[in-house]
Amino acid sequence: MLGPAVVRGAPSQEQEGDRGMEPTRAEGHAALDIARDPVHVAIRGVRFSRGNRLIFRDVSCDFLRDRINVILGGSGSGKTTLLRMLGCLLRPAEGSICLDGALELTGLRLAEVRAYRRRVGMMFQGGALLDSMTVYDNVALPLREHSKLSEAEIRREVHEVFRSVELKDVDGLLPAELSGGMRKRAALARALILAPDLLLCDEPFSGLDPATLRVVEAMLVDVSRTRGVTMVIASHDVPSTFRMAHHMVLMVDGEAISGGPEVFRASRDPRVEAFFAGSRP
Amino acid sequence: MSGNPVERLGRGTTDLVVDLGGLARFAGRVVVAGSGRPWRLRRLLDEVFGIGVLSISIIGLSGLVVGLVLGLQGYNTLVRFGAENSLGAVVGLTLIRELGPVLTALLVAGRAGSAIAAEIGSMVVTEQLDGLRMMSVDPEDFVVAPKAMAMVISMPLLSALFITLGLFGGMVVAVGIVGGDAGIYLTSLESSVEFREDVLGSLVKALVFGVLVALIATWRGYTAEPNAAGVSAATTSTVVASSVSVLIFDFFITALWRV
Ligand SMILES: Nc1ncnc2c1ncn2[C@@H]1O[C@H](COP(=O)(O)OP(=O)(O)OP(=O)(O)O)[C@@H](O)[C@H]1O
Ligand SMILES: [Mg+2]
Repeated sequence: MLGPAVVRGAPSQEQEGDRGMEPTRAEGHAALDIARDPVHVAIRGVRFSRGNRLIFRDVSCDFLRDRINVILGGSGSGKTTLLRMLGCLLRPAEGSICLDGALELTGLRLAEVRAYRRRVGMMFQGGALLDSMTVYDNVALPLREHSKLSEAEIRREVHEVFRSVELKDVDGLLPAELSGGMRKRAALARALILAPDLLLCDEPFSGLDPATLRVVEAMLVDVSRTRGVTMVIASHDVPSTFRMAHHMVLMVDGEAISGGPEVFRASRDPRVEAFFAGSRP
Repeated sequence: MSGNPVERLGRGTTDLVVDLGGLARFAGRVVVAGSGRPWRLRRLLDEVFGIGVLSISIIGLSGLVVGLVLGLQGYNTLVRFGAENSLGAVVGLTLIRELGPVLTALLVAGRAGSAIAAEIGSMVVTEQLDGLRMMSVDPEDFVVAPKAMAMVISMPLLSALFITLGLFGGMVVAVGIVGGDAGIYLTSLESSVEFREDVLGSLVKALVFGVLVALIATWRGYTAEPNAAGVSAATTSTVVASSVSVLIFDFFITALWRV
């Protein structure tokens, strides 16, 4: 099977790809050498259709361990579908999704899927908080289900994760009583509570005003820096992607194009140019 | 739906058979999920409370009114045969063996069954069930089983409430409207109702109807298409499917066990 399609920069820049990105350090991230960054999840030759509509023709891409990986793509390009495959909520018809070169997700049985999901946090587009339970109970739920902690210890853990997503005084509120930005943070808190290795975020920035977007973005970057978690973020917000991403995957026409931000910035691939339509920084 | 009536009937039948297969598998999963762990008592009590609160007033009022009507109709019929002293027996047996469980099930299907389908359906739409799955929490265990169990527990209790208020309604007619004697009404009631035959049979019916409504409502919600139209279709079809199956099962239970 073929490796992931990696975008090449313009020929003149190809030689010095990694050198060329030194200036981006100023924006807050250490420079990366993609070739040496360990791959956490490798997707190869994934094919998937809904009814008789082909959604993924042949998707191959990598997600890098402990880095911020952003999936970009137009509406309906399959970002959510790809995230759901990473969470084993959907199974591809063909192809492989492999963790650490060892665990093949496409062949897991139900009990194995459950075990796998304990190490995965997912933040859904609308939050997916249980609307009959308070925010506190929502965030405490994974601990109550999967740990033997006492209520006092659970309280401590929940409040600690609330602090790290900057939520205050929301314990007794119902999810419906939160603003959009707070709901995203509560969803992030619930996804983080079991300290996952892999964090999947579906559109964490959609529907946020520019200031709140910056807050959520800074929070995700902070979580990535302090917790050592592989993040896979589906987004269509271009500026924040170029600010935070270590690795990018662009979904177009049922395929994935991947590479570092510096590669995408310089790419002359017509599909890439068409997607960004002049919005690249 | 399109096509000629025969085609529609054929498609309807195959849909129903496929439905029954799916429903049976779903029921199996819920029973396994609900019995595998220590019971979620807190969630179960919350759900019993929810279904009760939704239904107590409507069931109580309906029971009372049905009792009043039964009293009047029964009296008008019995008086022609000079048998008006048997009013208690007629009202009691009709309510206990038949109208109590059946009308309760129809009303509960319309009120609480549809609410259960709508709630689970909207949890599908807002990805709450997928959210649970991603936390390695089984939605059949966490959401479906407590609701289904609560429905099975509530149905006999609500049916008993319906019957009690219906008997009271019959007595109101006997004493207050046609000027009879409360003692005669109660004696006639007491001497004609058998515990094993009538009261236990009534309980069995209510339990069976509870299982039917519980399964249909939770399953329709669970399999709702993930959009607003899907939730409304799940709600409607819950009421239709559970009402029809309650009536059909009522016939078979009555015919087979003479309840
Ligand atoms: N439940 C479903 N049934 C049928 N088709 C679906 C379903 N969910 C998604 N699709 C189709 O799959 C394709 C990919 O959808 P997906 O939700 O992954 O897109 P997306 O990139 O997340 O879009 P958005 O940015 O709007 O969230 C779309 O063409 C959509 O129509
Ligand atoms: Mg999406």
